[in-house]
Amino acid sequence: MMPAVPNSDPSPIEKYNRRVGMGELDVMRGGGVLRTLLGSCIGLVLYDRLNVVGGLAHIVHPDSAGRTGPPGKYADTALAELLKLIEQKGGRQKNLTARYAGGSNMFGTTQLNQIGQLNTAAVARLLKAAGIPVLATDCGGGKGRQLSFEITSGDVTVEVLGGTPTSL
Amino acid sequence: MEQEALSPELLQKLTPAVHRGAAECSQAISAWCAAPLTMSVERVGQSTLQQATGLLGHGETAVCACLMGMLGSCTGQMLLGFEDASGLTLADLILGRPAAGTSVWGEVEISAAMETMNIAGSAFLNGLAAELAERSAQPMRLLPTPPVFLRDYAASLLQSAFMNQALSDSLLVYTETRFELCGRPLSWTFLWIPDADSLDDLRKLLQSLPLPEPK
Repeated sequence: MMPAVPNSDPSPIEKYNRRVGMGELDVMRGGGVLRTLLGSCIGLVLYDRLNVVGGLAHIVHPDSAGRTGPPGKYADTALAELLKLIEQKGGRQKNLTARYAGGSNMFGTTQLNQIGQLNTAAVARLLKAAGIPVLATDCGGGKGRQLSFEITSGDVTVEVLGGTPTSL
Repeated sequence: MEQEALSPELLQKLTPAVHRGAAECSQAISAWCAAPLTMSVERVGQSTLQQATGLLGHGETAVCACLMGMLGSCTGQMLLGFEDASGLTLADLILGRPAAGTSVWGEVEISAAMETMNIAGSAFLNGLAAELAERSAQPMRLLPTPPVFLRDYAASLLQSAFMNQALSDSLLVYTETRFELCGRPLSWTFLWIPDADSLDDLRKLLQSLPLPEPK
């Protein structure tokens, strides 16, 4: 059964199909689809099923270390910004669950492998510290991924080129 | 908002070296393909992460890329990207087959594409290094790594190619080129992408150079 959207939200239900670019993040409420394409980066999905609010961040690096890039670019700033925007849309941190994918080593290099692993480890550590349970992950390997997050159902699918979409 | 990694003046100083790299590349791949194939510099540019990941077309497009690392005085990546049809046209040309004779990437076609990248990338680096060495009177040594062939989403490939530069807060620096075969454009894209550490060294080197003389 589809969860009810709380009446307290004055904004209309969003129905969009939006793409999240490298280092960007986005949050939607009530409906719509968020998509991203991943290589070595991590696509982090947070979802409040009760309030039908979800967000997706396309994380490039594990730690901002004081740098001033867009908040979606670094794992630490991306999680903080996602939590803020989800709260603003009526979601609650205590309801959130997480799924994430990416961190490929597409070129088979040591450096990319390290970045992918560091990104994955940073996201896991930050989610644990925030008390957000991780439902599923799909990380590593050598292929790019297309991630799609449907807000109403909370379904997350991941597709590699030439493969069939699989539920995360 | 991201800062420029290289000022317009430094980009102007870099441009002759990139053109020389392209000229040497044209000569080498024309000999390799036994056809008048030219690579020319479209721009020595800077852009945001989002703009850079669109350089091979729509992000969801399946593209092929031959990738080589760059070692020595300047480190980074070089990437030759093309859609299936363009890449297979190249393979047909090199293998002496009629155009549109191949529709799938087999071992022979992949090998032909990688060798083309090997020749193109090595020649480009030779030209780049020679020009910078002559103008700076400093030794420059640029070495390519063996090429790898990949077929994946365009955006995923470019994310990985730009991953190192994306460590900085600056705009991404790259050189974009275009190709022509017998005067007709080919939809190939060759990108030269120095990494973040090398950009610092490159900046210092370029600052020491005089501005190129106007043509």
